[in-house]
Amino acid sequence: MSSPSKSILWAQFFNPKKNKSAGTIDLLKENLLFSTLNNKELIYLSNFVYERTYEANENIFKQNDRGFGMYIITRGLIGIKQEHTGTPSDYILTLSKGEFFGELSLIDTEALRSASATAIEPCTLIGLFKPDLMEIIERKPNMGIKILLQLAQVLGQRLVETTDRISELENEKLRNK
Amino acid sequence: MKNSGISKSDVFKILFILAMTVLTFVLLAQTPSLGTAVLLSIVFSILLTPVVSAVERKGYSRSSALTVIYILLVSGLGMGAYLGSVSLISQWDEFSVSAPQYFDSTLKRLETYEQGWKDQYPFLKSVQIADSLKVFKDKTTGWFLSHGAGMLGNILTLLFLVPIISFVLLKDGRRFRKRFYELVPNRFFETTFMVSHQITASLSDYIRAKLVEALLVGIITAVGLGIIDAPYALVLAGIAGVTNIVPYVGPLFGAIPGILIVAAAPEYQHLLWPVVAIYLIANVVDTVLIFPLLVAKLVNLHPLLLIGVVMIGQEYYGLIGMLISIPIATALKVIVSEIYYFVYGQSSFTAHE
Repeated sequence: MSSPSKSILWAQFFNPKKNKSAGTIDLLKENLLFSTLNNKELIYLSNFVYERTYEANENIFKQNDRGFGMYIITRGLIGIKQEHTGTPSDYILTLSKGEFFGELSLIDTEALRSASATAIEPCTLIGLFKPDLMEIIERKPNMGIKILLQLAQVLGQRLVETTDRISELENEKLRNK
Repeated sequence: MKNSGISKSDVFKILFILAMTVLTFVLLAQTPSLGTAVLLSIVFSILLTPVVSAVERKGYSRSSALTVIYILLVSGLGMGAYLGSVSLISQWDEFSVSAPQYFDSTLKRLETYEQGWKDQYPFLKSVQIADSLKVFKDKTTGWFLSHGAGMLGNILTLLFLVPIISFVLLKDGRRFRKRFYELVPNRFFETTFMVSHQITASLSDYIRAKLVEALLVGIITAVGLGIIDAPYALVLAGIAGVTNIVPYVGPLFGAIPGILIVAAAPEYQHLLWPVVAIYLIANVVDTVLIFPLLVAKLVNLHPLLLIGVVMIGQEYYGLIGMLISIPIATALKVIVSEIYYFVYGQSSFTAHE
């Protein structure tokens, strides 16, 4: 039986690509957007995503940039912030491994990023972009529909959360009066 | 902050991409046989992409879809060439024998007319139309005789290389693109991704539209020439279709062989005006219907600008320049549009899926 360290060495040096793509597939599988895809479809999807590495304090995108796709975090922390007055404010949200952001730009044509995303620490992200999603829909319509349904579910969930937050704020305002 | 400047590794990556791009272009330009093969393979793979996607939709993997299409293409083309195109091949054989004869007889007639004009108008004595055409014919024949074997060799090489390169491009094109994007620094990644996607989509649409346009013009000409029972209808329609790919002057070049033949052969002279009319109808249908509906929408450049870029292309690279000028202008438009957005923050950029 081979020791764990030996198998890691083997994977790193002798089959790095397979190891890397297996990691990507696992991560995609855990993501809500792709949770309904089967293994074959996940392998297919892994050909359409891009792995990017960011250093600490590096911007992924800035508020009002045109958005072309979404990112899933595979390593590190991402801070989301909004710059209402032109001066950088604190992070309104911190995202970690497995979480994703920027998914609205997958369906919005001239989408502008509603907030900035910055790497708080060294990060690795997986990006899926609109033209590739369109290609998946064209080449594998069943798979495309599964992703779109999940995307609709996520956006719906976000809408409910936003509505709840607005209600909370309204109630707070009324209480303060 | 990290993103306020460009790191050393980003500069290295950009320089590496630029060096590789320049090297690739130099290599392809210095070895024309490879350059032509790559260019044709790109066109061929662009044509096949929708077919491959359609087969993939049926549940096949990319490799299986490609294998099925290649088997069908090879067997279909072989059978088609043998069965369906027999008349085209026999027409071409006959045409290649009689075309020089028609040219000679036209030349003789022209010489007689020219002499008549010169006798009537002495100031035309310095004009040597028939002689110039004779020199052109001798040069062309000489060129074909000396380059014939080489050309045949090149064609055979292309027939071997183009399907292989196209197969690789269709199967692994996405992997190559991924490798390329890995080199692009983070701060330019999304923009490079969208611009290159936009350029590829525009060029693919343009090439497909031009080929469909050529096919339609060829069909209209074939039907028209067939109805009036003109000689070599299929060959002449094929020439009209292929030359139609060249903007503006293409249709004119395409009409010359047909008009020359019916003008030269006494037995076909009654067809001269009907043949001219067929070429005119095909051109009008193309200009009024096919081009605006199919090509112009995709190019989305001002007509005057189009004429300008075609003229610039012709000035520097002749016929090839005319052919590639519009796709290059389309690509430049995407880049200029992106720079405009970068500078002014307003988009003239439309998402292209």
